[in-house]
Amino acid sequence: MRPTLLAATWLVARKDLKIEFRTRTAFFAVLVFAILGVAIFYFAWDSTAVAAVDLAPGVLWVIFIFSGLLSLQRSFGVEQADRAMDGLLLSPIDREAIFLGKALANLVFVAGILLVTIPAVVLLYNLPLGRTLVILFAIALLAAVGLVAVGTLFSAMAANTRLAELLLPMLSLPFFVPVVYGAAQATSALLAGRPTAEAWPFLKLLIAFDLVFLFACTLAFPFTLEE
Amino acid sequence: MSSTKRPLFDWLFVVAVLSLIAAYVRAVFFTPIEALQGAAQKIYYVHVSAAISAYLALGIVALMSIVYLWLHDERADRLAESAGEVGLLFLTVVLTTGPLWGKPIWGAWWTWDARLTLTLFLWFLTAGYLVLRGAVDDAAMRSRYSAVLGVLAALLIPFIHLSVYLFNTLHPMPILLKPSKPSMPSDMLITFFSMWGACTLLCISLIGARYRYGVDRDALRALEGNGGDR
Amino acid sequence: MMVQSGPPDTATYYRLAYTWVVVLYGTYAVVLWLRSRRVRAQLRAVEREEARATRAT
Repeated sequence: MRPTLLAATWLVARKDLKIEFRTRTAFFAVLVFAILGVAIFYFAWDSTAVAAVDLAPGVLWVIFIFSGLLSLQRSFGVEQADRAMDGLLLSPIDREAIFLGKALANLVFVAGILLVTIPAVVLLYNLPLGRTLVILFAIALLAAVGLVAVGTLFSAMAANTRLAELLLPMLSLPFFVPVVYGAAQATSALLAGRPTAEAWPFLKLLIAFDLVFLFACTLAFPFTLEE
Repeated sequence: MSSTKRPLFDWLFVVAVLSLIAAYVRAVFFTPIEALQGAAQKIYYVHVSAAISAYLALGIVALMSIVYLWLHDERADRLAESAGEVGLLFLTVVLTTGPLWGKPIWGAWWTWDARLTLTLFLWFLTAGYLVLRGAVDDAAMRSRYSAVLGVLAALLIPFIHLSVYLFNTLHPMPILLKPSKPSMPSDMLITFFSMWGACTLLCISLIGARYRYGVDRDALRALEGNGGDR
Repeated sequence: MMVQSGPPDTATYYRLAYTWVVVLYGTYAVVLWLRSRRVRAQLRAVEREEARATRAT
């Protein structure tokens, strides 16, 4: 019996996450990179000229992008070994489910990174706790959906090329710009205590991007596979 | 392939070059210098013409990407590739003449206004498109991947536009710095249209020439199995 | 009241821009022509090889 799209998505996601959980090396590597990056940024600016609370959102979103890219790099690398991708393609699940499953696994991975990185930023840059954390998490999760939608598709494509590590950032970064811009502006508006109405256009941008590209990339994925 | 017999640069190209020369002569010698901006205002003619041609070329890339995904016709893919390369050329012209115009007029090499920012992103996307093509060895996969990127890039443009719009409403540029749309006197308008026409002819003939080169290169690849350059 | 002198002298920018644009278009056309010449030469060479091979059989 052919599993439904939702069930197949969950199956693929669970498989990827199990593999990831077994070794955990990649997760820790990206985590260390993220926290290191947050720390290094601190030394890259003149703390007498710019206040930490003003710099923190920028740092968070830049580190978000780069650790997101690192997370995506490994996602299709998993299938390269032993041509495991062929096995996936032969199984009776929709191609779209393969994409959504991988995207979901990537989302969980990135969310895990964020779970540690955001408190690290709050800590190292002396941001107020409580409401800040909730806002940052919520917006970061929205941003992660957009990141993962586009990034999963491009990492699938890049994995089959000669310049995989170079190609993934080169292709993805223009697409990350509306995500990061929306997230960063919404974050800084909300953190500064400005009225929610100010943040709303940026949240709309973010949500619209997520919906459009999740849909488009899911549809596009089967086109990247052979007939 | 009969294309080997046809010249790379055809009559359309000759017409394009001649009209570009004519437009240049008109712009340099027969168009008055604008009072407020000085001679640098003339950069407007080449800058905007190149921009329109660039958008034309990239529109072809987007359209041919959809056609390829729908029909799997390699000619659509080849046309997209040719238009992409020529589009990158025109985008480079826009991005380099823009600062040369901006510095004397606005006092700044660069502003993050809608057109320049969009053009910058188009440059990144087109460069990415061409690098992707260069990185895939299998012909069918190369066509598929580029077509997907072409369509997604087209989908991205409105989001970039929206981002820039939001950015500019947050940080409005002082009205003094931004030159108002010139209500051009008729002789300047004619110069602009002649430059625009020449540029469009050049764009189309270059795409055609690049397409013919693509036909030859693909024929060579087919004969050799995996030879020829990109 | 501002004294009306002539338009500002921004000629250097405009000459540089106009020259640069021609350089860009021209370089692309020349490089394309060189690429085409090379590929067509290689095509002719391969076609000659094939003709020779079929004649030999």
